[in-house]
Amino acid sequence: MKDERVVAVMRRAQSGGFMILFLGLMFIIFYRDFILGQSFGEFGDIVIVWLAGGVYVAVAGAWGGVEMSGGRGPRKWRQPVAVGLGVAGVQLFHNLFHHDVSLASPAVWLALPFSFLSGFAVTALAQAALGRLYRRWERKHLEE
Amino acid sequence: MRVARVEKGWTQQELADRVGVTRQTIGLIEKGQYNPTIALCLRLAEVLGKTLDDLFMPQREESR
Repeated sequence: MKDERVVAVMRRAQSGGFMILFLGLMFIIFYRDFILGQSFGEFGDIVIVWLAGGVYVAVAGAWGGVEMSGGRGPRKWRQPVAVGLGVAGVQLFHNLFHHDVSLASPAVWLALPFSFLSGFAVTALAQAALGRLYRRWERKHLEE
Repeated sequence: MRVARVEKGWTQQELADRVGVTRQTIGLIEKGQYNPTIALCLRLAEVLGKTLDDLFMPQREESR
């Protein structure tokens, strides 16, 4: 029997379970990387599962008609900039303090802008892809 | 909705079977602790032979 209330309750429960798993895996990744100092090869499988879960939610949302790309108007840049700064910040921290590098090296200073730009580029591309998916849904369902 | 069900002489389980939900869902709707979707409301109205106003807005019906 497909009871709508049971379906709704189970979806809420599964959503809560997903959030626990998602945040738990994120904590494990940070702990292994920054506290235990493990290499990516030792916890890369967890990162892939964690990323797949996050990407699935974002793509399924945009595919189903939810604006996942930061909205429109002046606010549309807030989310990409925030996520970009987060990604770039983690990259920077990781590159500077996790690897044994010397700040006196010119190569390190050359790598810093590249690190920031790559973080922003990844974020912008992801947001653009989500926006494209959402607009595709909008064309199909709203402009008839 | 409880009145309409009792008028038909059905138990919550019988009504639940007819509309394809669980008995618990019927119980929660009757107690006002669950808001059914419009699709389920229409199924309930059809099975009970009532309008949506009859089932879910009894005060409005009484004031007419």
